Amino acid sequence: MSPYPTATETFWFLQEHPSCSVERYEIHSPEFDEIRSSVFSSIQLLMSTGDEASIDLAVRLRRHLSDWLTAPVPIEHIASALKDALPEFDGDRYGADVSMRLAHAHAIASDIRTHESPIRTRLRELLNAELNVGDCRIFCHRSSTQHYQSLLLDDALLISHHFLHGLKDYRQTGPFSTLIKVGPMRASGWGAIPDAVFTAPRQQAVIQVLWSRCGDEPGFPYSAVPGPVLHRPPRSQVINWSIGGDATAGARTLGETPPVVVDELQHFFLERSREDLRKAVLVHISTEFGIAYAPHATLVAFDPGSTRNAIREMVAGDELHEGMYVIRALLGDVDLGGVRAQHGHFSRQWKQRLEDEFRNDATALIERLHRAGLQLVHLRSALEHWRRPPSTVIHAPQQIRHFKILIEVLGMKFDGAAPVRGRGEWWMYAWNEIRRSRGEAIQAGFQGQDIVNEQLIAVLTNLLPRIKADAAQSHEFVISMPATQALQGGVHFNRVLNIEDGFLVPEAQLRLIDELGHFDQWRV
Amino acid sequence: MASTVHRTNDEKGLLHGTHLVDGDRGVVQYKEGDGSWIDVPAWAQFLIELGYYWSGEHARRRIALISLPCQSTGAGLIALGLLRNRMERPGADDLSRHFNRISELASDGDRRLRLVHRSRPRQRYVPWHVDADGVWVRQINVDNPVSRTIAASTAAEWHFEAEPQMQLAAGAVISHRQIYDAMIPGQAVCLTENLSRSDSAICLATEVLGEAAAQEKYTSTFFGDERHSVSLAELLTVHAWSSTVTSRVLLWNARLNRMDRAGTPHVVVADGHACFQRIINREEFQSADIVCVFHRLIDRTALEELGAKIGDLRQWYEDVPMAAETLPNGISMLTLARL
Repeated sequence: MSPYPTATETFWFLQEHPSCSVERYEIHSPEFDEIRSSVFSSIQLLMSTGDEASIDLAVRLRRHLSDWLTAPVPIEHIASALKDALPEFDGDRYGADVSMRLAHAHAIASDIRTHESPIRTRLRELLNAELNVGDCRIFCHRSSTQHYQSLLLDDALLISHHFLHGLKDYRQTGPFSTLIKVGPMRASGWGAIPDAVFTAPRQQAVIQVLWSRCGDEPGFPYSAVPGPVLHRPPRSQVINWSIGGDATAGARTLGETPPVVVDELQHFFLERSREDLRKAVLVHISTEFGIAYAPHATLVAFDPGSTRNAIREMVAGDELHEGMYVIRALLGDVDLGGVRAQHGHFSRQWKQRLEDEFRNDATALIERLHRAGLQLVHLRSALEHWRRPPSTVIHAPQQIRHFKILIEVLGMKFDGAAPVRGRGEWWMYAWNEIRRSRGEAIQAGFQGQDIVNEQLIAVLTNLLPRIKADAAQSHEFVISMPATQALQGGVHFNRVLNIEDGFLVPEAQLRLIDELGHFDQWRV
Repeated sequence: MASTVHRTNDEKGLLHGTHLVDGDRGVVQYKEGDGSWIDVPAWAQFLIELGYYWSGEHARRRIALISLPCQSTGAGLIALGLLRNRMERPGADDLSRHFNRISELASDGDRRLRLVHRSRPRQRYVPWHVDADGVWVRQINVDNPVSRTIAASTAAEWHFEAEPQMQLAAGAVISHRQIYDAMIPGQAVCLTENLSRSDSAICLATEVLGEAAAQEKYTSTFFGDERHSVSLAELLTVHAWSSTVTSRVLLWNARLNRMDRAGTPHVVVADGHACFQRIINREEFQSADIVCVFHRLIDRTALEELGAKIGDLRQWYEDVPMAAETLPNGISMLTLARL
């Protein structure tokens, strides 16, 4: 049965509800203004340094701030994120100005952390009312779901049915009563929402709750063909919220630099649009991992429902659908002259060493890594992440430089008995193993990709009965190329669980497996 | 007997559907998927009638963009209305064009296409030459090939391999006549000869997902009633989808950029914004009207690309004013006519 509402159901709904009402609650808080202003200016300073670690922190803060502006994030979480942003060692690592601003923001957030965010208070009232009388939906990032669920005493009251995370979800949902949105109405950037919410509404009403100075995008919604107005002008209410007392006094003292009047989301979007990013769709291959493809890129995929040409090249944004399998061939590095490894061979060794050291004295390990130049903001949580055993990919640092430091600090190297093993150092083998697990085409240049694909399709088509049998059993499996074939290696099959559009990612990130959370920074 | 249109409310009392009552033509109802039979909903009737009253023979080429609030079979419904209009027009068929095509191939010595005679379905012929006796075709793949002549009067007995027949055997007609007749209230009925002949003035261009996806979509909408229901795919008479051997709608597969047979359509109905972008500049459609049906549940980039294309077109086309109040709520439409 089709997940979509029928056309007639949609027209019935529009006949009954010719236009959608909009209630807008704008919340003004001097304390939050102070926090966001300090964080925003810190981001600007960090970005201007050109220093890798500073930019790393800026990107992290940009993501946090975007989240705070578009989701009901508890103040406690804001305080905690700001605390994490403060350098654990070397207090002025990012410059005195940045440290002061972040410390200032953290102080305010800490002072008011026992108070509930006014956005959360208002949303709780609205949600309780809506859940009592109608069928509401919340449009938000997948990662923000928890903040809505935590609003209610019984978080089970909000289930996946209540959440819409993108255009595709909106397209598939049937008519409902109220759509709830935190943050501005924007078609691009963080917290974007489809124009269709107003041009092809599925809901009778929209409730928008947002912090002040978060402007809706001019020209939203956009219609290619001028059409009927399906929404009414918003009824707006401005709510002033200040907890007063020490925090306000503190804010006044520290607020010698008045809050910068800037639309952060718009600024970030414009900033990102200047970067060399490519439009992409994100293919979820598990609940944890995904691969980004340019929408018009072709990839080899397996369609279990197809009786003809079940394995063929498909256009990622057009022809690939949920239930099909992405095929990733890890081929050919046998001829590259040495630096190769089988999936998990090296990672098991360095992960075991990391596990031992972490268990023995995590703080000392962090200090050693820090001194060696691995100065990530969340180093402790990163280490915990890297300790995880290899799965679809090998959890490891994103950058080769960070990985090299980690391996050197762990003291991993070939023992003296095996110096002839290869031309490179231990960490190079281990890094190649990680690259392979992420799907990097290290066979590039070995043969033209089109020729590889052509041969691959021919070989795999001959193995179709076995592939179908494996697909019936598992969402993820590997087929080894027959020994008689010119192409050698393993072919990985990953079932497509979901396809999301709306990403702008760096060229180098395309076609690589990465954690879904990592792609959030490139969501538009 | 004159037709009368009786408008009834649906069960919710909300939607004014079209429930045709006509003693000769019967009643046509409508069903989507596994749903119930209902009167043809206003939005669907609007699109059928839009096609019916469009007519593809204006002095100036026209381009229409029809925007809907949901995914639908809208393009197919418009194509159905266009087809229904041609059904009542004398001479709305491919007979003369067919004979000319065979003659041209024979004159050019082009022997790539094979011909089949209705009464000898296993034998294959190729156009051979033209002389005073007519067009000669020659049998292939046999030791002692036979040559035959084709005249304008007998051309309908021949068809190209893998293409629809030009005309059904004497007395046979496309099924479901009562549904076609009842579809447009108060207008002329279909001509019997058109019900038995192929026509290629109307082209349906599929979504970019291609023909199989289009067939699946149009097979899930039905006209008729509990006892006699026909899918939209069947009513469209697309050659590969229909049980009949003639066809009155060309199919452009937007995935493969390929037509299902030769033809020069007067009107092309494009299913979706991506299909529209693919066909709008194609050489073979430059003299045809284009009617694009798209839904608004697409991303901003696609919307803006469509908006940019409309902006480009306005250099050579002007807006045709229309009364917005005639449109069902949720549908918007822009019509452009060549300057």
